[in-house]
Amino acid sequence: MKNLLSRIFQKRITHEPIHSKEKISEIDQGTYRSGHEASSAHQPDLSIYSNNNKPPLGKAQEVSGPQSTVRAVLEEYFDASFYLDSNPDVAASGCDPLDHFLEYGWRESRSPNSWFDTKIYLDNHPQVQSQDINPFYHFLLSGEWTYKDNKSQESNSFAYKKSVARETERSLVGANFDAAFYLACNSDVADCGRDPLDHFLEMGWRERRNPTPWFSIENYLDSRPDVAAAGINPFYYHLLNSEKPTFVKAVSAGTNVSPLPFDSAMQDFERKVIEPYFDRDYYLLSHEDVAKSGADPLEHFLQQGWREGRNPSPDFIINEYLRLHEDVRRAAINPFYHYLIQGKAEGRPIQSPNYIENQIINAARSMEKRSEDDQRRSTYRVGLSNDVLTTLLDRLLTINQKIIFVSLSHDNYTLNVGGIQNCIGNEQKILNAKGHSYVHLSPADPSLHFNSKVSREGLVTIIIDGDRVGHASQKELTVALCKKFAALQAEVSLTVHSLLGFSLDFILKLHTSVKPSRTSVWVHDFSTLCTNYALLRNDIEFCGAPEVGSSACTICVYGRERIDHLAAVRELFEVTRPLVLFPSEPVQDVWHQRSAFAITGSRVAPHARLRLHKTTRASKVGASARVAFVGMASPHKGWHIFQEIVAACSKDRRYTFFHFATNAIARSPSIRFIPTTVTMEHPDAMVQALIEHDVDIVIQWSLCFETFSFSTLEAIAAGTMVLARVDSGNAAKLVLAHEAGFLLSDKFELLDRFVSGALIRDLEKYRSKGVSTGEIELNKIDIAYTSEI
Amino acid sequence: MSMLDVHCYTSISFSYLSRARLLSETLRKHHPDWVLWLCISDLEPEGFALDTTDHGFDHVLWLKDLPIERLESWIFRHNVVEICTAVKGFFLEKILDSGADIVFYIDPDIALFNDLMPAVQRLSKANIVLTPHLVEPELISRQMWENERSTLLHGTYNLGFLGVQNSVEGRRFAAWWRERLQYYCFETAAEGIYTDQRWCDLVPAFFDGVDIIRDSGFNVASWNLSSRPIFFDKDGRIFAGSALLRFYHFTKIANAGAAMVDRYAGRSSAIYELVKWYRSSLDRYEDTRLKGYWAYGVYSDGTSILHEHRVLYRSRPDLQEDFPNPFRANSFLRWIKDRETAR
Repeated sequence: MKNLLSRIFQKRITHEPIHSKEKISEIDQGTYRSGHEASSAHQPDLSIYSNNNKPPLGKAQEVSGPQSTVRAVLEEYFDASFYLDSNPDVAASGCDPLDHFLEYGWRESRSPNSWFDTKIYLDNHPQVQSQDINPFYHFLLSGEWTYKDNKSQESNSFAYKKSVARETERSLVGANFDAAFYLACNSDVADCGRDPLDHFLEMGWRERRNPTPWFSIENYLDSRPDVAAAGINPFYYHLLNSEKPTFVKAVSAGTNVSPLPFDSAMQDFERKVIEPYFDRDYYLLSHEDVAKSGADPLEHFLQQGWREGRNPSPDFIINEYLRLHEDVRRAAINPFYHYLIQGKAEGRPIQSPNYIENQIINAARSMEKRSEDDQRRSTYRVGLSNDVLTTLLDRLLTINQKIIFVSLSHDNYTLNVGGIQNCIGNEQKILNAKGHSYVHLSPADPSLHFNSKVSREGLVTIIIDGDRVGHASQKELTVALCKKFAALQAEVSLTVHSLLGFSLDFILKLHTSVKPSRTSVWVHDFSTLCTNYALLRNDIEFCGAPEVGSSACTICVYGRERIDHLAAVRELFEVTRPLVLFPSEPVQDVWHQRSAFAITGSRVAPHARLRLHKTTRASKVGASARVAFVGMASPHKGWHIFQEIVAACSKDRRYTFFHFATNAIARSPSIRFIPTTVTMEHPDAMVQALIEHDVDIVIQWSLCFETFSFSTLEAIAAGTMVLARVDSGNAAKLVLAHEAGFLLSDKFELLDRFVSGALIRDLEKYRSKGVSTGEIELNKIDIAYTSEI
Repeated sequence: MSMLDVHCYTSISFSYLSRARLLSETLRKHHPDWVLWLCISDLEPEGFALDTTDHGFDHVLWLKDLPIERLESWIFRHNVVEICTAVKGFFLEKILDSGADIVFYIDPDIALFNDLMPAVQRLSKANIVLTPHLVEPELISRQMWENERSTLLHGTYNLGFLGVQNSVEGRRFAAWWRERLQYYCFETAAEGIYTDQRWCDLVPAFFDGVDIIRDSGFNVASWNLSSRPIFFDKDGRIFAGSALLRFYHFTKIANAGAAMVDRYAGRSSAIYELVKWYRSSLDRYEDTRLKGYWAYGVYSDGTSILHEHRVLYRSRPDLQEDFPNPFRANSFLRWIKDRETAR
C-alpha cells in the first residue's frame, strides 16, 4: 500500500496539477479526450480506495504520507494571504503560513482558504481527526474531489463546487434560522429527530415551512415568481439580497476566521467559483478598453463586464444564456455564476445549437439598406475637371493602340486584394503585353449594390494600364472616353467583371457611347441573379436562385428587391448581348439553369491551375494537427464555423489553429494569425505560408457556392487535407477532383469529426497515401478573348 | 373543385390586428378567390377606427353584435384568449349561414407558405378536418413530458386550424361546438377544459366524416418542430419534415414562443429565417395605439380587470344575477372593493 501511495504521490508532484485552469476548461467543455491519457496523467488513482469508496485510513501514517508529499499536494490550493489575514497571530509570528497550517493550523481548526472549513470537515469526518490526518489533505484525495474517468470528471468537479455552495447557503441560512420556532411549528420534524436546519434546507422551504417568525416562504414566493421559477431557496435568496443582511458565520464553523462583511464574502465566493473558468487572455483581447485601463479582467467582469454583455470565455455568451433562460435574466444574477453553480447541473444549454446562424440571420438586411449605409460612410472626393481628364486620356491612350479594353469591377483592383482583383490584374498584364490598352473603371465609393433604379451621379475611378488616373463624374467620363475612342478609331472591348456599385443607367450609357465590338460579363459571383451576389438566402444558406415568387424569396431579405434587380439585369443583357465567362463548370451549370438572359455565348475560363510537384509531404503527422482557415474572416466564408470549432477544441492539444489572411479581423488567443497576402507578384504566397507553417488541415467552410475558390486551390497546393462543405461549388469540385479531403454536409458533422478525434485518423490515412505539394499557375493567356482576337 | 365557395375566418382582439393582416396577406397570396372574415372581440379604442377599405378582409364581424343574452356578463367571464375562442362557434355558424361551401378557421398568428388545397380536397369528402398537435411519438423523455403530456392536458388537436364542410354533419358539429364554447371555454386545463381544444378531442367520436390531417406540413409549430425540421430546396420551396410547409403557427413568437423554437429547432437554422421574416413583416402592420389594448380588459373607470375577478364572477351565479354588466365600475368592482375593505 505504501509503495502504491508513494507512486501516486510521485505522480501528483511530477505532473501538472489537476486543477490548472486549462484542465478545468477542458472538463467544462466536455472535449477532454477519452482513454488512459486523461485518467492517468494528472489524477491520483483513487481506485486504490477499493470497493466501498472509503480511503483505507487504518494506517494514518501511510495516508498522511511524508510531510513533503502532503505539502506538495496542498500547496496549490492553500491560500496564504487568506490564512495570514484570518490568523493575525500567525502573521505576527513571521512563520511560513503553509508550514504553520501543516504543523499546527488544521489541528487548531484553522482553515486553509476561504472555501474549505476545517472544523466542519473534521466534525463530519471524525475518523480523520482520530487518525491525525490533515483534513484538507484528506479532502483533496477523497472521492468528492477527484475522479476516475472523463464523464465523472465533470460532474464531480461540479459536485465539489456544489458542496462549497451548499456550505455557504448553510452558513448564511443557519445564522438567521430560528430552530426553536421551526420545531415548534413543525412537530413532525421534532418527532423525527432530524436537525431542523437540515430539514429546512433540504425540503422544508419547498414545503413552504417558514424558517423564522418574520419570514413567510409563501408570501415571498408569491411576490417573487422569478425566485419560485428559479427553484432557489427563497430565504437564502432574500438574505443574499438584503441590503444589510446579518451575516454571522455559522456557529458550527467555529474557525479562527474573522467574520467578513457579507457582500464581500459572497463576492469572494463568486470569484472563487468563476475564476477557474474565466479566460483572462480572451477577455483582454476581446475588450481593448479593459486592457488599456489596466483593470484586472476578472474583477472587471465580476463588477460590470457581465452586465455589459461581455463574455468570460469564448464559449460562454452572456446574452445568449440570458436569452435562453428568462428566469436568470429576471433574477439579475451573473449568468456565468448561475451556470457554474446551478445551470450546468440542471442541464441548461449555454447556447442554442444555431446561435451564430440566428445572429447572422437577424443581422441580414437588404442590399438597398446596406447601400444606404455605404453612402452615409462614403468620403468626399473631387472629380477631375473635363480638361484634365481629356489631357490625361490623350497622354495615356496613344494613337497606335487599335484595341482598347474597358473593364468594370466593384473596386480598385490595384489597391485591394482578392481573387477577382488578381484576375483583373492578370488580365491587364496579358493584354498590355500584347500591346493593348486596359482602361479599368470602378465606383469611387465601392458598394455591393447594383443600382437598378435611377442612377446617382457618383464618381468613377479610372485606372489605365495599372496607373490610377483619378475620379471623374460618370457623365463626363462617358463623353470623354467616347470622344477619345472615336478619335483613335480604336476597337473597344467591354468586360464587366462586376456590376456592384454601378447602376444600370451608367453601364447602358457607357455601352451606347463607346459602342464595344464585344461585351463580356464574368460570373465571378451571382450578382447577375440576385442582389445578394453570393446567393445566400438571409445571409445563411446558398439558395440556388429560385423563382422570385418562391417561398424562399418571400421570406428572404433580398427577395423583394430582387424583382427590380432581375429586370435591370435582363435589360442589360438584352442591350449588350454579352459573352458570359465562368471561372468553373459548376458555376456555369447553376447560372444556365437559373437565368434566361439574352447572351451571345458562354465559356468556362478558370483563373488558374494547379501544378503539383513530385515531392510529397512527410507522411507522419505531428503531435498536434495544424488546422487553418485561409482568407478573409467573414461569415459568408464560414469564419463563424471555424470559430465554433476553435471554441470546442481550444484546449484540445490534438489541434493547433491558424488563420492565414491579409487582415486579422477577430483576435483570439486560441488562433495564431499569420499575415499572408497573395499578390500578382507573389501568387504563391499563401501556398508557401501554409507549407512553411506545416499546416495539416484547411477548413473551407464557405457558405457560398464558390465560383472558383483560390483558397481551396492553395490549400491543395500546400498538400493539406481540405474539409469542405458539400454544397460549396467549385471548392467541393476541386477537393473531389484532387482527392484532397472530405466533403461534409453540415457543421455538426464537422464538429463531430473534430471532437471525436475521427479527423486525426482521417489525416493520418490521408498523409500515408503520399501527398504532393505544388504551385498555382495563373492563366497566361487571355482566355476570354483569345479565339476572337 | 374550383367552384367551391371557400371562406376563411380568424378571431382577434385589436392587439392582434397586425397578425390578422399578415395572415390575410399570406392567404390572399395563395388563395386570392377565398372570402376572408375578420372576427373582432374588442371595441375600437378612442382615436382609432378600423380602416374599412384596407383591413385585408372581405367582412368584419363583431362580438358586440352577437345575439347573446346578457352579453356583457358573458364577455366578463372570459379573458382575452378565452373570449376570442368562445366566439368561434357563433361565427362559424354565421359564415356557414352565408352560403359558404367550406369554412376554415385559422388563428391570426398563423402564416401560409403554400396553398391549402389538400385540405380543401379532403373537405370535398370529409365534414370536418382537424390537425393534431403531434403526429408522431416523441423519443426523448423531456419532450414526452413537454409535448405529449402537454397535448394530453390541452387537447389532441390544435384548434388554430379547423375546416368544416357546409353539410348537415358539418353544421351539426358547428352547433355542438358553439354551445360548448358558449358555456365552457376557459383556460382550465387541470379541470379538463382548455378553451375549445379539449372539446374537440370528442369530435371523432361524435361526428361522421372527421379527417385528421397528419401531413407534416400543416400547423407546424414549436411543439412539433423537433420531428419536422424546416428546410428549403433549391427551387425555393419550404418543407417541414417530408412535406411542403403549408402553414406555420407562430405562437407567442414575441416572447416565450421564441425560446420554444430554440429548444426544438434542432440542427435546422431555417426556422430562424421564418421567425425573422414573420417579425419584420408584422412590423409593417403594427400600430402602437393597439399594443396591449383590449376594450374588455378594463372596468369603465379604466381599472384593469384581474383574472381572479373574472374567475370569481363566473363561479358565482348570484354575482352574475346582481351585476348583469360587471364592467361598470360602480357595480361589481365596487362590490369587490367593499368586500376587501370589510376584510
